[in-house]
Amino acid sequence: MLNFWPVYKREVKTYFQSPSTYVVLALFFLIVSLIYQDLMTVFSSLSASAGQQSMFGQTNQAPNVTDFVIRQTFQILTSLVMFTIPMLSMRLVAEEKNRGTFELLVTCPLGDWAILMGKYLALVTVGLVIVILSGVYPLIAWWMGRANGAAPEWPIVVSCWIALLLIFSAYSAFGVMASSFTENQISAGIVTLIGLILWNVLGVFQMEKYPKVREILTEFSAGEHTENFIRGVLMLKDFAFYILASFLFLFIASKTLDARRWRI
Amino acid sequence: MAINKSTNSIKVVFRMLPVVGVLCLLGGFFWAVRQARFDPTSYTLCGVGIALFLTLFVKAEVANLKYYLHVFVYSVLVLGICVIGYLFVKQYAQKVDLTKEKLFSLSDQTTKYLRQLKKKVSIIIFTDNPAPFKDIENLYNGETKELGWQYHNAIKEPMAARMVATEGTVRNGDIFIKSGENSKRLNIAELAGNYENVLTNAIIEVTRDRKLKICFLGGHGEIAYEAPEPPSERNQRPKASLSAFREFLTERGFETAPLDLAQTGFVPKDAAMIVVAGPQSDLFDSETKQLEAYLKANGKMLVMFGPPAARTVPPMPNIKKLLADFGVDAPDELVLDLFSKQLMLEPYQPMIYTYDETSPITRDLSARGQRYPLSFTRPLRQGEVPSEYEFKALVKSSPQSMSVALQAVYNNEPVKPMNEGPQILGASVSSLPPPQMPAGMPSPPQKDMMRLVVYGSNDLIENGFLGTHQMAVELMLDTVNWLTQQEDMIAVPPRQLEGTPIILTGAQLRLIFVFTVVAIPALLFFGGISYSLLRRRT
Repeated sequence: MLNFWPVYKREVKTYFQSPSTYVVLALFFLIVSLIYQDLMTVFSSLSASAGQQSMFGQTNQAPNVTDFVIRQTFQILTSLVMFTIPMLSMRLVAEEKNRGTFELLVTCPLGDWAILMGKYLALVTVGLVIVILSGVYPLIAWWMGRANGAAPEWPIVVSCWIALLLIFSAYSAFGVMASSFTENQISAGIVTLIGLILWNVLGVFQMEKYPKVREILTEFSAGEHTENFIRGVLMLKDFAFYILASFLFLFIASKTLDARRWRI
Repeated sequence: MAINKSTNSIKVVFRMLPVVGVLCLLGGFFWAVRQARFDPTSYTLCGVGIALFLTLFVKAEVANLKYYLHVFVYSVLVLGICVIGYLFVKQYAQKVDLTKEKLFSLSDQTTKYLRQLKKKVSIIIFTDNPAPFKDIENLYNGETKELGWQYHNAIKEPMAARMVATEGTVRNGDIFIKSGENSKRLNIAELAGNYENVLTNAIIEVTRDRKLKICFLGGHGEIAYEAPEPPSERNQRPKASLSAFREFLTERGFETAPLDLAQTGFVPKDAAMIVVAGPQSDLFDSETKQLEAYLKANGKMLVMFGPPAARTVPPMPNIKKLLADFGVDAPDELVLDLFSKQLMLEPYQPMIYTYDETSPITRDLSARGQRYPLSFTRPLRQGEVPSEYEFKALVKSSPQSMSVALQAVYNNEPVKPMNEGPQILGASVSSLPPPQMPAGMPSPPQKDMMRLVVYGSNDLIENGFLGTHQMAVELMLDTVNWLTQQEDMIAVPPRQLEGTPIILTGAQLRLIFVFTVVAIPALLFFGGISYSLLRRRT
């Protein structure tokens, strides 16, 4: 398992030499930036109207940049990851199987876990790049508000980064699992997308007659566990949820690869 | 040959599975449309449909079925282990609140109280959506195991509602906090401003052994203590009564009792507070002496004036003198507020416009700054306040208000403004608080203090008004809590997000647009593609 380095290096190289990665990243940041720009415009007008009202002696709480802009931006970022992962993960195992290079890979002295971990961590590295690039939004808010001392709360920003990285990791594991099921990239992408959407909307189902079922589904819904992070609350159970989910998906992927040894 | 045949037939069945999946999916949707909502049947059909449809992407390798089964069994086993692991970790509600204002944590006072709580407390919430309460439940349950939370829908579970409340109607939005025989009723709206303050104090109240007794003075034409008979004629207005206010107090853990001071001749020893609600005639001399002595011996009293029932304004020298001795003047005047006219109200309905920020009674209300009208309100003034007491103007009318002679209004005579500007509509007088000790020194024990609150209108506790204005409910609750000097009550200040306004100029907004919407995606797109093309060439 620990000798994943060669696979990881090769996958990272493939990701960052592939134009599709940059197209996906550019699209991802274009959408987030459009929303961010809109949030900043609304925030500025709210700040101005709160200022005007306080001048006329009326009480109106001025908005908070972390609450209004940063939290919402990261909410969008974490939601968009759901649509980004299928595009990045679909080729991971499926392409190798399709091209026939997978047999070559498994003949190397590497275990299934090493292969999977190399591929998975390469995808998480792309996630890390997204996390680093997302730092630009709180930085702009800090730059614009520094004159008024209106800086974002950096501990909450860190919490949002952790959320982004954890959710990216869990979704990546799901993507790797889906990719290991099939030889067809498109199928892998569709399965990942449908799976991630279903995993996210688990708690949304209206089950008025069965509140307990709804409670359980909500508890195991992916989106439910990012809320605490985005609010600035780090909870042990949320960390455990994403780490265990990642482990589970990678385990299923490894078992799926393992099954090929026995297939007729 | 026979094996090949059966293998082929299994393959055919396997190929049919995606089609069956699509049919199941359609069936699920059809069922949902028929039921006008998604129910477990439609969810199951859709789920099975998706699962079967996905078999389209799985090769029909029947011979390898047992290996797939092997993967499935192992996966389910590990899923179970992961779920158990997660549930185990979930038990330990370890968390770090990174917000500056600690918005998602309980205050130190609440935490300390909950940790030493020894009595079982049930918190029964009537709602159609328990989700917003789950966070609060987790916060409180993280500190104590004594709290039991129940959620019911008052519409769908009328029996549960009937079992919880012996009298009155229970609606969604009602919250009952019970411990042994004690019970307290709250409303979700009361939690809106500062849920922790309200909820923790409710828990303290129901776990307290002794109930505080509030006595309502009678015998001078005050608002009826008992609920009145319903009006005999359709157009007749129901008589004013204190029944709603009394119910409100009972639900909050107080005990109420009528008091005929002229008959008994003394104030009961167990009286936590005396209420004089809208007297129409003056107090007797003996009563005045009793009440003065009671107040001077650190008693608590709430006095509220009502509109005169007759066309002649009754002189009330004894009440006025009693109040004047403590620094509150209540002249025979009426507040007219021109600001009310802007809101399509009558000028004799003055607005509660400003709240005293320093008084514990109005501090929270002041932060919210909501306004509401009273009617026929006497203005109050600060008189000669004895040195050992402190006077506070709790609520004032708008700057566009004035006071006029009450009798002139009743005589329909032209009125002359007697005092222009904001009028005091409610005031408090109390013994001076003990001096603040320097940091690190133990604070002296809280002694019993004289406390008096006077309002120029009895609207605030009258049946018709109390239930319709949430602000009146809160103002009266804070008044009663302060008067009864419940110092063991926890005062958790409302935690609000600090405003961090950023006002951007047009140029700054353009800069943000160019940098985020144009530069970053363009850099990623063109830079990335150029880099990958270059790498491929080399």
